[in-house]
Amino acid sequence: MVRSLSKLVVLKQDHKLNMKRFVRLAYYEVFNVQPSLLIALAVSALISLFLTLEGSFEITERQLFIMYILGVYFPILIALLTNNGLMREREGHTAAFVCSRVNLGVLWLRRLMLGFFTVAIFMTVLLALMNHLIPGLFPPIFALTLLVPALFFSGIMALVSALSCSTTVGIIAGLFVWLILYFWSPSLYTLFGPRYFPFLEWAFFFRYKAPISALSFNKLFYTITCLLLLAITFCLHQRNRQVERFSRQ
Amino acid sequence: MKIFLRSFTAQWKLFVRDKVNWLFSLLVLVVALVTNPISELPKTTALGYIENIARITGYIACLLFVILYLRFFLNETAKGHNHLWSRNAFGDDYLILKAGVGIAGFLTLISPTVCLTFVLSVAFFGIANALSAIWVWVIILLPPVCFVIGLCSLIGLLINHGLIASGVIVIYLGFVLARPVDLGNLLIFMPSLQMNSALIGFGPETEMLIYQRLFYVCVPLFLLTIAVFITDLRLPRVKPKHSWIAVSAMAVLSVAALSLSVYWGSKLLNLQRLRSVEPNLQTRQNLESACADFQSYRLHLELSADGAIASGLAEVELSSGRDLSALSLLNAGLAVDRFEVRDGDPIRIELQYHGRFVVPYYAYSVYGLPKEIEQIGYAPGAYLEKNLIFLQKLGEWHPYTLCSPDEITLILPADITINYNSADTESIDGDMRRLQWQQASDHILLIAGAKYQIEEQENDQIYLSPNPGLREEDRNEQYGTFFRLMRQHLDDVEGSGFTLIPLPLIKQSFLESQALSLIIPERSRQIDYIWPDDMARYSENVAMDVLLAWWCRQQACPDLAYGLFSRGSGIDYSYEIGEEASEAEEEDTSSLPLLYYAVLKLVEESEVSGFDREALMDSYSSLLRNKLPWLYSPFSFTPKNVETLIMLYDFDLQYGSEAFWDLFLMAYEKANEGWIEKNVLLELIGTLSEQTSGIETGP
Repeated sequence: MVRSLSKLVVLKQDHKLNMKRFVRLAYYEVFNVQPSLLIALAVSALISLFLTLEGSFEITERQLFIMYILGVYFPILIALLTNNGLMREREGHTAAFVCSRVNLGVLWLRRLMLGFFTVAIFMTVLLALMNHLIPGLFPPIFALTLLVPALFFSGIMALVSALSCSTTVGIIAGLFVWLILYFWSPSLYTLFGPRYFPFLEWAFFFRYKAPISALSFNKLFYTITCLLLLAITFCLHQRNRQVERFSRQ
Repeated sequence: MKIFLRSFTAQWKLFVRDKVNWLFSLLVLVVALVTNPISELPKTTALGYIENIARITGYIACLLFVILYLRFFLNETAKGHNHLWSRNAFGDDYLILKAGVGIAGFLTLISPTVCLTFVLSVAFFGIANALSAIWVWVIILLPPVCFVIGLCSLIGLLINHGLIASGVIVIYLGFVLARPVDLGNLLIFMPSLQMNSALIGFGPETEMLIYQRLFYVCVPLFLLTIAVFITDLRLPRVKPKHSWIAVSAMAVLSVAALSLSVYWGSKLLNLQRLRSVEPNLQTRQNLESACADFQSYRLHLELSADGAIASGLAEVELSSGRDLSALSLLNAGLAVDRFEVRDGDPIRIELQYHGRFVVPYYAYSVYGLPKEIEQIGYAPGAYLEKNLIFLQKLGEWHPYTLCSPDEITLILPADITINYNSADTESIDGDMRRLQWQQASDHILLIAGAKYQIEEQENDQIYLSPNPGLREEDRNEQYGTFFRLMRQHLDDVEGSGFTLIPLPLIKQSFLESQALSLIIPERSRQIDYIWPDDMARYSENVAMDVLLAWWCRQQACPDLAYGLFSRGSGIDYSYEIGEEASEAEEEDTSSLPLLYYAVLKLVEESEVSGFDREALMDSYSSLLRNKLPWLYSPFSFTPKNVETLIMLYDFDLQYGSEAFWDLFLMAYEKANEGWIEKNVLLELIGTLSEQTSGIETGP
């Protein structure tokens, strides 16, 4: 009891967060902690822009290929790269130290949110650029909706990683779910329809020709699922059980 | 060597003791069991079962194993392992050790799945079949795993960051695996096979598969040799001095691996080019009209022991001066040696050819094909391989494919077991067998191969594949039942014996040798589609296949067969009359309800459980009166066809079964290429009604 109280006291040491500090922190978390995410975003942007500008494609092919990348592969790539936001502390044996400065739940959430904030900005700029080059190529709302599948797979990976205290287990679980959902997508689409289909943006342009009306329900459903996954993960980290478990291993 | 083995064992232990790796093993096992439930095992074959499991395991394993292998591969490159790198031996063996342990570790992790499926295979298919399916595991799973390990080793060394390397490789492999499945594509390291047959294994895909697998054994070897060259640059080791011998040996190995990759890759692409030809519909149309000008058409064919055409000669006598040079539809794998035209009356044409018969992809594809291609049925008309040889009278094994030969002489090694032949004369000369046909009337000329088992049942002969499963027995029983019933009603023959031969690749049944032999498709996309969920509908399909074989025994009616079995997408069952076609333009397809009603009668008579003809006909009546919005039917009809169906039902109710079968026989006499006009059918119904009741019914 005394030990946990003292831990709480340490965790309560909070600094005042002004704008300047926040920007510095964000810069550090994005550019220093997650450089691979930026590389992945740059590569995705290059491929998407190439597909937008390549002259040999029909407009429908262009839409299909770009959404295939941004709607199917991009989420798993982002999930892979954001999953080790906190787990790297464990693998670098710095979790106990970090824990003395900041709540692990807060740190994890901050890194995840900053990562997704970066992705959101990237997606907005990319879609705006693509729509500028070919007007009406994609609905602007896709800048937000495309984040949902990425968040969903990140949520799965983060939860399993937090439960198992292993980045690899989380990655395997997330990749496995993605594999199942992707390779069985025709059956899933037939069984559950567009409202529960995880790669809906792709399904709009693929042979399923999903109705755009399904977008709001689909995104609402997956957003709630994501929030649930993230909330559970946050609670797991928040209680700082990880530190005790890390130290046991 | 001793140190290497000790290191290998130590690394393997490290790999196996990592609990995370066993999560992968568990996932593979779960996926294998979920996608191939034990309850469905009796309905498949050992080959089909193992192929399916190995393929699904490969798909899942290749992507997930990337994470595990890279983690293992780059484990010692992280901080804290400097003491290991200070020793030269560790750095020298690092790559080979890791790749070797990767393969051994993968095999260890999938061993629970392999063991369980082996036990299940033994239980359901017998030890012999289970053992023979082991090579399927090896051939399907080992090359992609070697490729993944080779690729991961190279990319892992280059990037030297587990997460980024995983991301790059997973995205690449995901793209490749998601591409349309095609064996001939060099990027596809995990092919999905469309053909697996108890009689001919992977059949037309075997050769492609072997080239593809050899290519994917050589490519990882090349990747690993490249990785060896960059080891010194990328690993945190003390740079040693390499002997020239070692460097030269590695260079030779690298060049050899590259050369072999190019060799197998080019062989694969060449075969793919032959395999991906599409039927030349225009030439087919031209040839059909040209056949009428043939005064005589003689064929002389010599087969070698492995099924290749050692020499083929086609001799044509033509009444008109039609140019036949562009009308040959010879298979893409066969090469023309000589084409000679001798003027005179009649004009004589000789075409000599040889080569290996390649079954084109469209002929056995399980995916929906355009109507024009589906309608031509099994156009190649032959399968020539050492396991099985069969020849249909019309096929791409002779140049004027659609013209019926007047005389065929076939010479083949005498030691090839003949299962069935419709030859007029047969003789053995030394170690060669000579078969001759004069004006062959049967569709199937020859079935030869050592793999059939023949089961005698009273007067009947049933041909079985080497490992007949429950499904095959059920199928044969169904075919046998409907064959007997059909003969009883239509040929007025009861209790006589017959021969039932399942044949791979063909798309519809043939009734041969004075209707005593029924040759059925070993696997039929059209018929197996609904198996095993609904026995009544399955029986309807089998009965239709048997009835169609009888109906089309003297005249080819591919259009009718297509009308009944057009299941390209698995959703659209209907005879594809253009949706926009007006009523006046609509084709008269009255044969469909006539055949279907006859099928319903046969199924009812065979007492198939769950089948209720009256209820079904009530549903059709409701459909016609718009009381039912939709009705599932294996053969969905136009409203006019439903009308005809109801009319036939009323006729049957009123005048009895015997009158219906008389009507059916009379309709057959009036049919043209399998089709009968509705007016003619109505006329027949009127005539028969009068004869049966003795009352005038019409003006």
